[in-house]
Amino acid sequence: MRIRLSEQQLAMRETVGKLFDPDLVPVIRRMGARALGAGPDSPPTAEEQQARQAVWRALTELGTLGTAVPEDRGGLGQGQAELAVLAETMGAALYRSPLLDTVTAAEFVMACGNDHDAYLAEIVGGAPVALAARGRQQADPVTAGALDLDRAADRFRAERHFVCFAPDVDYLLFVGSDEAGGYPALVRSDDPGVTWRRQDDIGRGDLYRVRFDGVHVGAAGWLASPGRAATAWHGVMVNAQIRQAAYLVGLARGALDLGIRYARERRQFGQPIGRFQAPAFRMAAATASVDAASLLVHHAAWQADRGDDAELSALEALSTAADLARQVTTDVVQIHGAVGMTEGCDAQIFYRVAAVDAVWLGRPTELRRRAAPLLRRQVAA
Amino acid sequence: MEFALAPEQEEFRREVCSFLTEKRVGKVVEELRHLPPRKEPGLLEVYGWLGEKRWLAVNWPPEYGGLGRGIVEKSILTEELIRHGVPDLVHIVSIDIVGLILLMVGTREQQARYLPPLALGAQSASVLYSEPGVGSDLSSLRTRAEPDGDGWRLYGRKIYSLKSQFADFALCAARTTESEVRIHGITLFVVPMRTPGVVCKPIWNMSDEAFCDVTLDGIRLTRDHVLGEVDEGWEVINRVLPVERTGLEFQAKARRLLDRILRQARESGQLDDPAYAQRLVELHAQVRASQFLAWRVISELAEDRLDGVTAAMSKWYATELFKRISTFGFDVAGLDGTLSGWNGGDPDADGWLEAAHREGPGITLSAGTSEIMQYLIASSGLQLMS
Repeated sequence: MRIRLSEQQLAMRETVGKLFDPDLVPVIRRMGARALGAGPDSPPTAEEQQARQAVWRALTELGTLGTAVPEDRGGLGQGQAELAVLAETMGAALYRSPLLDTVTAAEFVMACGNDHDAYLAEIVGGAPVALAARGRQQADPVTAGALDLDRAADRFRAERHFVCFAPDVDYLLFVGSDEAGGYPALVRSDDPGVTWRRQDDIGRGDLYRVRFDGVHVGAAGWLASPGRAATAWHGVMVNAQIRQAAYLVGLARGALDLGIRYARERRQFGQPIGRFQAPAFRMAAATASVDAASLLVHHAAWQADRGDDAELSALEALSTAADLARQVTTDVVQIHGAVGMTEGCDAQIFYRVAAVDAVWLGRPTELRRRAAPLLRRQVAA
Repeated sequence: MEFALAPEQEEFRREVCSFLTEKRVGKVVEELRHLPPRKEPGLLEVYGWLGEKRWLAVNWPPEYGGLGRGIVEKSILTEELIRHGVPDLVHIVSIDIVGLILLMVGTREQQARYLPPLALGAQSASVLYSEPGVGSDLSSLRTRAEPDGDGWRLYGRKIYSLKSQFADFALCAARTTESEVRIHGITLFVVPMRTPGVVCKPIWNMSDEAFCDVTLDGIRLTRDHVLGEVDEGWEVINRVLPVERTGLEFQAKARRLLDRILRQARESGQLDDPAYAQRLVELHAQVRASQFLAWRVISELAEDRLDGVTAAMSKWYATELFKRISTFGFDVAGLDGTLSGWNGGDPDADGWLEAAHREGPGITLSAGTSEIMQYLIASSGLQLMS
């Protein structure tokens, strides 16, 4: 038993940490963020695009996209343990990108069979992919949204919400479902049947409603048969939830570090506010809770890497991390006083982004609802 | 990270479980479930059986009655004792606290004298720190050791210790030298408990374990009774604290309590009811997290790394969690859960929930209050509060 980061995990943290170094992080946190109320027509500036692409290229060159892809298929041959560290580091930097979606796409493509080597190579080589799985009013991608399939013409129509970075990715991983199972396809973002419209969210980020109108799938189109696709999707979602939990833990840590530093510097009543017990104890409790959530994430990643059933652990890790991220970011704005709400302060960015990321792969209440029957099975009579 | 134990450690766990499921152990556990009010477990026969196997202090050197295994095996034993309902407190205080201090700072003579009977389960020990005016602020203690020839006579009153009424000897912090620097001048003594100079009375409280009110009335001690150096007891106490504070026993108790509540919730259908399932899943996640926090401390100790901050986190998290669990237990059990084990009639009703609820408030106070734990995290961990 060794409950500390392994050599490989430490190496991942150090490598990615160089990219997200303390001087660059304040820039990364605001990269591409829109103004309040920017609305549907607000593309990022050319400079912002260049900056985002530069970071993306750097991460691609480090091989991060293929972290858990076997070496003989062009990846690093590592696992969820290393991806968790990557995700935590990204969360602390508030780095928003299609990276986690792209990693999920790579895993999914592998889970669909061995016929997709070309796609896998493209993805691992840096082709960004965004998941397009959430149907209208149903923001839970674990159960993919509906689709309107014209089997005769081999075309489909569907609407998908909360697709991140739609204009900036090479592919949209469309997932639909009906009674027969799942319908997954890698649709090129420049497909004539694809249109999008930005959704102005509290995170002021890059979320899009995407319409797939008469998109042609073609013989090679669906990545797997409906039954296999449904199973593959379910399995890949478990790992995606672990990574999202890791991102949220990192986000909470990043926010907390901000709050702690502020508490050491800000003075009132002749001393740093961190000297007072109320804020200090709040930060102490938050620190312990973040460590607790981090261990849940790492345990789930460890189970996944061993090939054990990690579903209950993933659901518990994600629901815990989601609640935690919202609580901690709320506390960190509070400890900053009014400054925490100002546009110039990162505390309010953490707070707003946490609100989105906490429900990104399922509402915590939903996650716990799914977990209950799994827990029930574990409870001895 | 690696969350699995080594095969030989899993094997030890299996052996311990096998012993704890023996009929004779089951009989003892059953009897202890139904002690009359204000009667509590002391030095158990079970400890003697464990002592015969050298498992009671499995991580002590063989010359003192252990097997020379490590803190991991020691922790496995504690976890399984708790999981199987064997009262553990006398064991923990005697072996994991008092025995540990003796191993860390005792002379060879002291170790050879005090350790073997503890490891055999033939004797027990307790700890005398708190006083009427002194809890968390231990360095303000008033118990004094007045010089008397080549030794001292101890005078003072120690309260709120547990299991002192059963103890053959106790570790006692007393002031040997007045000093402007309060933490200097404190000495840790080994006090024989069964002598006329030591009187132990119970302070009844709401839990099933009495606090002890111990009066030291001139008991005479010599240099042989001093642990570590004279006047440097504070340093000894603080050196040992992060080693004994793993949070392990508290997370094991939290797990056991939640497991019972989950079983009840499963039988009643509440685990299938989203209104209850939400909170139960949340608590289950936190119990697992508390287990990992404790084993993180143990894993560090096994590699000879001491971290007072991770230890404080683990103790704080597990004990506060235990209280949240017992509180929610009444949501699951309703009024039936408030009935004690002395209700008469149903032999299966041992009032486990209401007893746990009475125990809970004590664990966020003993072995370092939650406030002190947060203080440690904030100061040593986060460099706040200074």
